[in-house]
Amino acid sequence: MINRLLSHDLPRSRWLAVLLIVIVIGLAFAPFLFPGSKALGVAAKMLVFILLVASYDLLLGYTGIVSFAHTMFFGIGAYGVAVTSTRMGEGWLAVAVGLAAALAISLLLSLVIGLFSLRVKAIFYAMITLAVATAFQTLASQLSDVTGGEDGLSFRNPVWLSPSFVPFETPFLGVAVDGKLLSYYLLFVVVAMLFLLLLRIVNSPFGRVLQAIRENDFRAEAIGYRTVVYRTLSNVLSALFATVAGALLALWLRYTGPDTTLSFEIMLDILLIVVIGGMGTMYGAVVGAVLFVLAQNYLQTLLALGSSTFEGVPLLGAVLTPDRWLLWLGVLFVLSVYHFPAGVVGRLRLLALKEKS
Amino acid sequence: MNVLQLAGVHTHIAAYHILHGVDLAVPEGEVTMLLGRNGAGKTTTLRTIMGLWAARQGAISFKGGAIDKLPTPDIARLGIAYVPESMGIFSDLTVKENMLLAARAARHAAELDSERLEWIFGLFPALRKFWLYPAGKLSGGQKQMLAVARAIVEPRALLLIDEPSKGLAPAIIQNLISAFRELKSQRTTILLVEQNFAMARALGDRGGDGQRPRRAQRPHGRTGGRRRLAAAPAGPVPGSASMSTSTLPAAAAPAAVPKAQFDGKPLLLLGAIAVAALPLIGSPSTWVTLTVAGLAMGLIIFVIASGLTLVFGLMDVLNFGHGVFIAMGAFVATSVLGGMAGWTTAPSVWLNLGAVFTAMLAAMAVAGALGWAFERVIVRPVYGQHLKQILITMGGMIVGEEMIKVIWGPQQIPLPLPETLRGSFLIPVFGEAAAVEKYRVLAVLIGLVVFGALLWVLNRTKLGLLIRAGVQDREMVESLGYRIRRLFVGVFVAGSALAGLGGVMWGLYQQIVTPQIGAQVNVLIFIVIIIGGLGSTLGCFVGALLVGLMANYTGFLAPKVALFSNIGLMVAILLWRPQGLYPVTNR
Repeated sequence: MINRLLSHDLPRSRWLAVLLIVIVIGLAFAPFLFPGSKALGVAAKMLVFILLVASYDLLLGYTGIVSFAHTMFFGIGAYGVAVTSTRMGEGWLAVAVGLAAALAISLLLSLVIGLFSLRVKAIFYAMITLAVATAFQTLASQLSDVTGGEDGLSFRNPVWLSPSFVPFETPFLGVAVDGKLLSYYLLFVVVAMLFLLLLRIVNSPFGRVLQAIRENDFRAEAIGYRTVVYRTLSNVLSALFATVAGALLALWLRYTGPDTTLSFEIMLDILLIVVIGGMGTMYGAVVGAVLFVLAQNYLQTLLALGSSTFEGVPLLGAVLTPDRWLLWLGVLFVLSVYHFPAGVVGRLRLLALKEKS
Repeated sequence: MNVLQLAGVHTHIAAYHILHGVDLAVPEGEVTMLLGRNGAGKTTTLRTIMGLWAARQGAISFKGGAIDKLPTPDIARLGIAYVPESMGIFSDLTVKENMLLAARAARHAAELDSERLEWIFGLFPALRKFWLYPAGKLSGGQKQMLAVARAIVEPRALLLIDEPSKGLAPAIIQNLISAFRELKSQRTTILLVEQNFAMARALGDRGGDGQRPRRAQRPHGRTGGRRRLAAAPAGPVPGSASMSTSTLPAAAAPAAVPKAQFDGKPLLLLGAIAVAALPLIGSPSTWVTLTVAGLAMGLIIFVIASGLTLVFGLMDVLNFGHGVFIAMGAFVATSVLGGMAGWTTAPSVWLNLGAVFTAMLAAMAVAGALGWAFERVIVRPVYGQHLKQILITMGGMIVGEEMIKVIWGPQQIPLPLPETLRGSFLIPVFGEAAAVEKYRVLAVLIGLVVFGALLWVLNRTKLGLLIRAGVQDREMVESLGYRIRRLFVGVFVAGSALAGLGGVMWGLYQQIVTPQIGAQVNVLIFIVIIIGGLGSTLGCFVGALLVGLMANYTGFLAPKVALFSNIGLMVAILLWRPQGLYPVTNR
């Protein structure tokens, strides 16, 4: 049963299995285990990033394509829901229309970018996506009538998901059942289902072809696979999953702005999570996202502590402020690409292999 | 006496064990043949001697000294010339330049030993005829002749020649045989790999087929050779040894002599866009203003992008962190110009220009030093791994940008133009006055100087010849005895320094500097080098001007669309020429 659910792609390491079980249990019962709205927010962010990074892993880890436009599709999803919810008034219809429109736009855009740039040369793709994503970011901030510009859009969720919605008077297991809780479980269910679907995709014959292309595109072509078609399909699929992740984020925050979805910082977060978790493993997205979001909330406090300690020291104080959080992220990123290319999941699997032999 | 000696050499390529203990001796002044069927390891033996594959075990000595641990350029410098199976012709270079490159001592064609050159022309008359044509347009046989000629342009102690007869017409093979006979008569030491037994028999003093002695298939190789031998007389072998192209079929007749043509279409496109914009804009004076602005912007982008495209072309490294050098240059300029307030506010053009040039030199020095460190720490460990390169250089960019914020603070810093460089010239155009900003004229001038200097270095100096050759075939440049690593570090540093210069120019153009300047300009230069063709300097120039002009024209005509004009331009160009305006061969 579990085997089929995971598409026969088991963790293949006892420690990884334990880690994953802990994470799944932790996320499934987060509202009860970690009370408080901040903790729930962290857990929700983990869920969104798991889906977002897993979809990126399909592209980077499994197909070997570097894209810098992933946040663009993430943003399209988030803006889709936000724009329709503000224009049409809150409700499920607005969410459905927004998501459908966002998916259609993502589909079209990713198809065009993919067919166009993947046909020429894989390395072009990284540059072209960077250019397109930057243009899109500028576009989003310029069309302030629609997108709210730099301020973004705050909107109301469908009644069931709004915090003021309280179906039961009595708290369940000590936790008040409200719209926020329902939103969290909506996120949890959708992310879990889509993650399993992604696992199914990468372990299908289609996924094997993608891996063959990653290893040696020339040979894959020689065997008879049209690499352009497969690369483009992978690109489109990955974009669609990212769009859904964006819509989920918008539903959770009830807000969409450039900083939460389109900024380059988010793109860097995605890259870092994929590398830390382990490229081409899918589970890496889960482990990486959880570790990263935890660190993000924890490390910044640590930095603040460090900077207050070294207040008087000229350079050290400036380097350790929480504002320079990105500096440490960058250093961490470079170091992990060098010394930790297989990521947490890759390392754990390697350990398990060594134990066996 | 043996010039070259191999003893028990084992070579592995990736997971494969190719050579199993090769013993081979090449005596001085003789032609030694290396025979064997496909996959026997003949080519691998030669490549191992050249140091292109590392020998895992065994000893290789040349004139008594061990060479198995030396890098390829050092091996070549001992006097070993290598003609690879692929011939290793630099197809974008002319025949002359190919020969000049092979003569390590000569800096100009005039320094080539003319007597020796005449002798080579005697052996291969076609080379004289096509002396100034791109080598890539020669026929297969002529390329092979050039490859051999390159190996003997200066006297060498040992020639390693890999299957010179491969894929050539019998007439050409005959020509090659007679050339090798001539070399042999001069007591040149040659190690020749051959499958054509007729050629081998005609030349060899002694044969070695010591490859993989344990392989059972060895006798099959012999059979194959005999079959070839039997078939050889039946072929159209001309008696004359002085074959030249003139007796070949009409396809290679003089009428079809390839001309080195300059591809002017991209330049025409540039002109066409400028002309087409005139009626759309309407007012000629506005058009002049916009065109100068576009040219200035384009040339600044060119200065920045030229280093990136060279680095990519030369070492196949796509540096996503190029923007750091731009930002670094701009910020250094804010400090330098801020510190020279006395000079920048003085009403003297010379003092003002002096301040600007000091800032530019300082920016170039700092950006160059940063580039040197970047190459060492960030890029060097990931050569040949595109995916990691993209990720790592991106990470380096973030770290660099944050360090700039640490040093100069996260806020914008104004970078005002010095006193006399502000304002505009008024140029009368059809009775109207067109305003042309002074600084833009200066930017155009500096950009043109950089472009001219780059073209001069690339096309008129040996250094440039090496860079152009390295863009096409790194391995062959090393086999000719040049240390391409040093060359690359040099180009990387120069490219970073140019980016620093461009950063100053861009900062002065915007008159404000933000830490994000690098990332913003990075996007533009990526578009430019894609449009131009990765690795091409001329393409980068035309691409940068196209982007600059388009940005200014559309910015005036339709500001809303301006955002996408560059991406639209890129899409249109790639539909026309998928590899860019000036694609670099072999890429």
